[in-house]
Amino acid sequence: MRLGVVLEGAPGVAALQSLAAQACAAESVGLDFAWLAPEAGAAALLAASSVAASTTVLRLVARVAVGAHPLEIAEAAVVAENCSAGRLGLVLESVGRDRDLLAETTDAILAATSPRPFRHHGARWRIPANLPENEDHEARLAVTPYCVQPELPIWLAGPESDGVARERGLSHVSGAGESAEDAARAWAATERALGPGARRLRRPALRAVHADADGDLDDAALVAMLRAEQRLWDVDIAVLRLPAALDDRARARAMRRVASRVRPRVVLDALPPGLEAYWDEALA
Amino acid sequence: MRIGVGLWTMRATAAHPAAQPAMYRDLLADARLVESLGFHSLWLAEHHFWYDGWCPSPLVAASAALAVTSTLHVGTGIHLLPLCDPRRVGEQLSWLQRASGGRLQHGVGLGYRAAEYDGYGISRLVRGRRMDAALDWLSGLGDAVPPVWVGGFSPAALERAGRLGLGVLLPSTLTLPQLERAIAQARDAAAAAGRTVRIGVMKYAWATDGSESARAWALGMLSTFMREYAGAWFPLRGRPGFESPELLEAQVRRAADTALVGSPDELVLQLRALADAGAEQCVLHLVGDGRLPERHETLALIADRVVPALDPVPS
Repeated sequence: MRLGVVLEGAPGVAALQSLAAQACAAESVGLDFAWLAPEAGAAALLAASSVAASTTVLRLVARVAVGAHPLEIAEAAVVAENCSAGRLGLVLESVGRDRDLLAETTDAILAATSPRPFRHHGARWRIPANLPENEDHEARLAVTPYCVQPELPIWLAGPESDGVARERGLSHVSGAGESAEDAARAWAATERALGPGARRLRRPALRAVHADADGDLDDAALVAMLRAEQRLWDVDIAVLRLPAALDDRARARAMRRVASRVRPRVVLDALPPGLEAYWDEALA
Repeated sequence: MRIGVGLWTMRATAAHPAAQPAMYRDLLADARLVESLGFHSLWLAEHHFWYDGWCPSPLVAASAALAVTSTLHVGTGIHLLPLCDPRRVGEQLSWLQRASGGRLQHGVGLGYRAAEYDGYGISRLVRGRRMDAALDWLSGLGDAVPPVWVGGFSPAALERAGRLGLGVLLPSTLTLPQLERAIAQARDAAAAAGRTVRIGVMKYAWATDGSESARAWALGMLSTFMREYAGAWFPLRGRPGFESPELLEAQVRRAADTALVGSPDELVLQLRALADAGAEQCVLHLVGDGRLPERHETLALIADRVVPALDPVPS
């Protein structure tokens, strides 16, 4: 299982430095993902490119609520993806229960982030519009620069997202408020719908984690929860949301604890007897 | 006078092919270099849907440059504001301005390529109205958003900047008399609204060793850049430049004639003339597609011998 953390957008003037510090802390202990969803939702891709500038191997996930023009999201995503040299994934989150909005935005962004000229004719958007007053318009457009990755990872999140994702062969994110049983039901439906095609999909989850003001957390409980979800629905990426009030130092301490005490315990199904006890003693 | 440098367009052209992610990586190194050389600002550009990968989202690239610097300002020269939803742009600008400690400079413009408007489903005919509405919205956000520089030199652009008490960012190919007229127009509009207007200028520029051969090389590079740029895109009397060769050549000559190309001493004199005309800020557009190594040399020359000879803007 891969593990990541949510980077909290510190209010005030030091947000870029705070995000960089959190990201560097995550990268330095080998966590796999940083999840960016700053308080200003439209700024997630700005935050992603700033974090990309301070890191080299950490993978970044930017959560963007749909509603903006899909080209705006796609173009911002490909620039952030280039800034990260191919380390960005995009989470499109539904707004309310507007399934159609999520579906059309996803379709347009999938087309726009492919290395093919495209056009999109949907209920909300026609790209390009081919308006008569726009002389010399194109029949199809190509969004450039291309993504560095052969394909931009796109996951869907929020209400109605599992069905929209399933129809398109995409992953959906099990949200922080979703139970393991709900996730299991959704992924069972995906397996029925896609058959062997479901195997290529990652199974990400966002989960809240309690930690005290010093960054100490109950790693045994966290391991138990993740192992249970692994058994129940094969979650393979867990992004952990630490309490927002933690300062950067406490956050870094919590990340180190996740990296040293949780991560080694959720890679394999089981560990040889004695190893965990040895770790507890040697790493205390 | 404050001196900024640009434009980082992130283009991989037919003449200078390059790997796009390497260009974005180099942007970070360049931002650190430009900051260490003492320049006020680094400027990015925006265009869409073009073969060379011209950066379509300069605020995202600016965020990366701001993250690796601490005093350098980063500007958009320019951001095509009418393509955007003003509320979302306001959110992004507020976040980035606050997160960077107030180091963003927001140059905005109408753009001119119909294909860009058509991609976003917007009639090119309403771009002026959309610009007005967006600037009104951003003005209402006060100091939460960065200072705005309105690009262009049309009477409407100058009136817009003056009326709202913003800055103007005058384009590179204006002659000194044209600049003086534009500055007067902007100031008149500001005075009529009881406001003041900041004056910024963009200029194609290159610092040389003063030799004729170096000047010819720099102007040749500018001409190559301008011929492709204007040839493919500029509507010259309604037709793309390559379909109007005489007009295109005139445009290429105009760019060369108005560029600041010469020894550091010559650049100082030319920049002082701009300052005397009222310019408080100049963005030196160092052309050169891709990752031209000579660009670092001219940056260092300007930092060492041009900027220190100019009167600073009182803070």
